Amino acid sequence: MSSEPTLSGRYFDGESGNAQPVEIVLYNDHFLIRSSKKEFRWEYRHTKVAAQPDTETRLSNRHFPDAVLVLPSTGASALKKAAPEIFDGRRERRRITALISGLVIGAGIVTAAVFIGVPAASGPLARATPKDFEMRIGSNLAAQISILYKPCGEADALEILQPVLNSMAEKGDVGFPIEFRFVKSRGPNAFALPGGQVMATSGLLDAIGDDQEAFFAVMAHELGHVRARDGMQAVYRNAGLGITLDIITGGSGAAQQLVLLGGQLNQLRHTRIQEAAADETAIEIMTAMNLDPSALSRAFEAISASAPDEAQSENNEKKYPSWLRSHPNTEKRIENARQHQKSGGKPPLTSEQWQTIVRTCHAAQKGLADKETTQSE
Amino acid sequence: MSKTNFETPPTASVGATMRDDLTVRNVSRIGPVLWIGFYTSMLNLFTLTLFRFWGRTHFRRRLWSDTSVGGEPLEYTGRGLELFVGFVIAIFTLMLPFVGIVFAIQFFIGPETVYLAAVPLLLYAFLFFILGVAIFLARRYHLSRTRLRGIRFAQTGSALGYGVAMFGYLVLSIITLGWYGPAARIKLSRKLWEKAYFGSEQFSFTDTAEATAEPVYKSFAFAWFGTIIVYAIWAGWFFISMGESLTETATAPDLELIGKLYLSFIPMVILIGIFVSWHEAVMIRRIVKSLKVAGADFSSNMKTVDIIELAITNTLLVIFTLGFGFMAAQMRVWKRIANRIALDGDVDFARIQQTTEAAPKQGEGLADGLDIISNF
Repeated sequence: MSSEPTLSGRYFDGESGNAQPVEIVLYNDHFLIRSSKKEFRWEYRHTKVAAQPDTETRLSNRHFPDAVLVLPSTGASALKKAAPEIFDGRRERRRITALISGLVIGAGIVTAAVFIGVPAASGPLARATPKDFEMRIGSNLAAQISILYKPCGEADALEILQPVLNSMAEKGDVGFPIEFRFVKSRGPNAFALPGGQVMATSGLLDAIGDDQEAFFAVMAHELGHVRARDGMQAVYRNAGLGITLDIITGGSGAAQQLVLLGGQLNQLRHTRIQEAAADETAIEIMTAMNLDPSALSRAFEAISASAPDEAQSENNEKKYPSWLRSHPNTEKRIENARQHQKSGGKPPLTSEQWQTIVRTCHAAQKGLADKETTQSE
Repeated sequence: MSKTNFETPPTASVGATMRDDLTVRNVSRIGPVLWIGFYTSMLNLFTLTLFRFWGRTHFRRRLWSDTSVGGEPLEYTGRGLELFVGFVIAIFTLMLPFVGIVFAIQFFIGPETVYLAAVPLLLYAFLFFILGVAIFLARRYHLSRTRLRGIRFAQTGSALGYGVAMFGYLVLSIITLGWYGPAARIKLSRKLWEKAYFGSEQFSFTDTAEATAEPVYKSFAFAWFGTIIVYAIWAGWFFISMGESLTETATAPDLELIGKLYLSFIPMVILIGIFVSWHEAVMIRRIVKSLKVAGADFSSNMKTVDIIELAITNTLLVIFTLGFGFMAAQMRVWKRIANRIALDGDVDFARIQQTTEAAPKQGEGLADGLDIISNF
């Protein structure tokens, strides 16, 4: 028995593209769609609004997957009176709310895993990594870096330096044999890769000049990274955090960039912590070598003073808050190193030996400087 | 036979079979789409961008339902969950293994290995092949979730075959410095459209007189030489004005340099856009005019000025909305293309039966993973 007036509309049955004029007869919990040939029963609870353009309402039903019933607005109003649940947006709003809540919780779990879990696990994982495995990774990375930073220096200079570095590594209980090389680069810098690979730039030698203690303080800092297995930790962190965020995020616009930026800031926080810890290890190794630990402060000063983009570096140091930097504040590091000042013993190398070291990348360094001058002109 | 006007408003009459009305029309308004883009961006922030699958679905539903043929709107029946599941599958079947291999090469294979250099090259070649596969699968999903008058579209054919073809054409395009590109684009379009269906009706891609009359290579030459000239001027200006800043030893990023670099992109992109737009308009017309389905011939009167206008206004729209206007920009492109299309012919919709092609269960995860996804 019909409870409402009969409505008219058009019906696509999902079998052919023909629009069939139909009559719709409303009942308590369903309606019948009658065409000239067939009759279809649509339960209200399985029917939903598929689209509602200005002049008509398009309905679909779960049990008739491709079928579409189109009602003019007057018919839709009548149906709404008989079956308000079809038009009630609460079900859809609940679904969306549950979806967003689920996604936020899921994203929270992933965020916690990659921002907290992965960095926390990177230390134990690095320590659990077999040393020969880490050394292999380190030598592969060193080979790749050599493509960008060409090695420089004579074999005799490295022969002079290597025993001192070995002694420092032994006293600092670094745990890896040190494989050292100089590389061509104007920027005063040094870095440690996994597995005992340590590199110093020709620019560092140029900046430090005659102060061999300052050079060994920088080396002690790098040995600190080797001992803490910071390189290996960075590999695990980057793999966990970088790749996860890179793979998960997508789409376009500022949202994706902000999520990736969050990952990068988190990486910076960890490198600052590692740099500060390496400073402490440097002080420990310098003390064990009977050298003045505050030489580290002189190294920082020399590096700051001779950086090719010195003014820029100073500006950046003042301009950017600490959380945007990869290293702790230089002034604080200098101050911290100075607090450990003590008269050191005899420098490990004679001045003649040290001059051999200083000269070893001189030609390469001069070549870079000349190139830069030519470019400026 | 009837020829529809490009700007005729849609008509819908209850009970009619619409045998003669084939007007293609999109009536999307920018406000609602901007809103979808805005809330998608905001929710992306709190969901590690995972909401994008649902945002994209909302956008498509809106865009499809605003687009009608003969007064009957298209329907998008895809679901966000399908996109999400497709994406998760792509992560585990392709992306993680790929990243794993890249890492393994980087870390485990010794630098002394002779094949080390060849492996990344092979991997990237594989990536370009996969790109074609991803495009095909995404399109298969799109069409399977698009309905008109209760009839689904479908894409048949081989995703791997399309991937191989696209890779081959890409190599040819590189060898010929891009000059094979237009031919490749037409061939790839043909490959897709000839295997596409509207229900039981197969599309055809025919080199009609109108289609082949389009000045494909004349417009390409204009775009090619124009782009070279603009790029040469930009590169000359860049190296002359900023040469001294470009030292290999800089240890801190030069923000002024980066700022100037980005600002210089704007006129360069606009100028290149102007040179390329004629060719783009020609290519759209060339492809659309080749299409036919169920007795209806497609045509397009897309104009160069349409492309220029869209390129400039959409760039500004995206910049000034910090990216959340991206969907609105895509909507404007879709709208212009749709409103420039006309269908000519008699279509007996009663004759068109539902497709028997099985629809894929998940969608376009690969394309999403490769960041080549289009919202439409």
